[in-house]
Amino acid sequence: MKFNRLFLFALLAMLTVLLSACGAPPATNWPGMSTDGESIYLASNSHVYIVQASNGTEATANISGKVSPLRFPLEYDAEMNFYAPPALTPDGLFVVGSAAASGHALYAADTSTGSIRWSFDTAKPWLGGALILDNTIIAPSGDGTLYAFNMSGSKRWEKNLSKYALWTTPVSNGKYIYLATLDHMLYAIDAASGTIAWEKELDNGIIGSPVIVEATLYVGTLSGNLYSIDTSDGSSNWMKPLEGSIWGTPGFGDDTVYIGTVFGKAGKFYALDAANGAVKWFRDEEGSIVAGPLVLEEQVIYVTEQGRVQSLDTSGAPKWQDNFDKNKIYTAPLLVDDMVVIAPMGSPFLMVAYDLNGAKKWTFTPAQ
Amino acid sequence: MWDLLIVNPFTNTLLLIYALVGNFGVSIILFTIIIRIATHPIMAKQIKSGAAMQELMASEEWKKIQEKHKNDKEKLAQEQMRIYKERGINPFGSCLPTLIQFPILIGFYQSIVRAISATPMQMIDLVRGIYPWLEDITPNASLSALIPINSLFLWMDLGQPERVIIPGLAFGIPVLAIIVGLTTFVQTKLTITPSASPNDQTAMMNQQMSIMMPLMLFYFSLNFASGLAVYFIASNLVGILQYAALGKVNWNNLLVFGGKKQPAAPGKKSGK
Repeated sequence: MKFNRLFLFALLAMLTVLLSACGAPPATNWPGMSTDGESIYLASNSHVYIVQASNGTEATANISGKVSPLRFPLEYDAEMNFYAPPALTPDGLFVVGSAAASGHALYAADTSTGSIRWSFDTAKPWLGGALILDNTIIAPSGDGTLYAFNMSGSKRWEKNLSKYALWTTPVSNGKYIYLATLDHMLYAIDAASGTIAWEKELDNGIIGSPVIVEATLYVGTLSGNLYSIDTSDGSSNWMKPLEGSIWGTPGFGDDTVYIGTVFGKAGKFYALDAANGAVKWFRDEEGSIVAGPLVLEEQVIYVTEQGRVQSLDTSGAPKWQDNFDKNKIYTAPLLVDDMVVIAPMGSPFLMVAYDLNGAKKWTFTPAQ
Repeated sequence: MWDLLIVNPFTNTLLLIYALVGNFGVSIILFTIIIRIATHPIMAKQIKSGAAMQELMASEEWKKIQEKHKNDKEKLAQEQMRIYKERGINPFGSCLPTLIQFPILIGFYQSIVRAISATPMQMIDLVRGIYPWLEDITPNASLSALIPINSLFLWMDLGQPERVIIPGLAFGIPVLAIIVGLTTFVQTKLTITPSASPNDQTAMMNQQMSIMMPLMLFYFSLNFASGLAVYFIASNLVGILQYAALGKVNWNNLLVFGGKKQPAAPGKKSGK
């Protein structure tokens, strides 16, 4: 009898664990990275880590007479989970929103101490990164609203754009803020007032931010259509259907637009003529390409879900590569000085830095 | 394999219903009804097993061994097991319909989380898993028509744990979780097999189930996506209706605590 009772309890406990392990909140996402050239800010789950670009070690701060790693928050807080690339302000703040199950706030914290200067609560999680524009912080929220704050956290304006979460990081040409949404819309918003200058409906959800090149926006949708759009009025220059779905921000260099796709479990990497969308070349990949590429002078670097870091020259020929067989990479590579930094998931290293020839320079594992 | 056989079919069924009715909450409820109907034969079999158990407990042979081995629990258990075996009865008959829900529950929960996709990373699996031929059934089931899924239902966001905020209160009230706890309690009490002896193994197991299940599902509903709580409530209500349709609901059980047997209402075929 005792055995049966124990068995019943064990069974229910096991089922509880199973259910808890199969997708319960908090929801997870890939890490976000940004840099000021000297430090790299990595938003990865429970913390924003501040890492010295020169050697990959975590920066430190003297807090109450004790030298501690410079991270935010200093101690684990169940109400904080970070995935958006932190935005860096000219006056020494980093701004990042939390996507924790129970804590949904936008935080502005001091880059030298990690202490909170101000925060702004909403009912929904923050997954999109903020944009800093002329002493204004523009942040897309999970509640479907784009908020603008001054540096001290006072709200300048807000614009509700969608009944769905805003996931993409806004971009700007100084005059307008451009924001793509999950419900197929691309908005141009007046940076000063928050009013909509124009809006354009595309064919599917948009996960990756647009890239601005002079007077043109390039943006891709989940249907796999890549658009070239006029920044002034939203008119379409061209649209090119690609195989698979587009998740990342396109890259641009030498009149060429680069973008990868998710094609089932595989992927394709495309180089297209920026003038008309014609495919210059493409390359098949075994793993899906979720993140946007990093375009440099003589090479373009992208990462795949199967853990590959691939560098190609501008004609599509391989230059160098590295593989993280057991890990997935969804975050776009980041150029920091003369290094390329990637953020694999599920790896002991939260970041890995390479020189421009693919030689590994350092790895970053946070101290416990 | 789990994804291929369970999560993807569940997710696509949910999405197809969503495409047809245009409301994700209603889609969860309708899918729950479909699952309940699909598993009805298993449930009916277990009810039959429960009825056989009741018959056994009322038999002279059962009463005799209870009396004979009342001071030797080990021997009593052995004798009970022998009789179960002889008569082909599963002593856990009334628990099994609840327990077999769990693989479905886990798959269903994963499907809800996947369909609602709270982050871009979760959405990758959703986009990959949508059957291309769904849009042949209805254009509303194409990828571009489905995304994004509207997860709002009544006052809830089905992708988030539910709380009702009352002005002046510093915390939200988990209304849905409370309803889940209550309906689970009612369903478990209405449908468990009463025992001849409150001290026997089955009675104790049933007693524990009638307390643990509501508490556990309350806990799930408190912490997980409210879409799961909608499933629990729909499943409980449909379950009660199924039992009632089979004439097996014992309303007297609602008033029973501690496994004491309540006689069925006079003239009623059910509720023994």
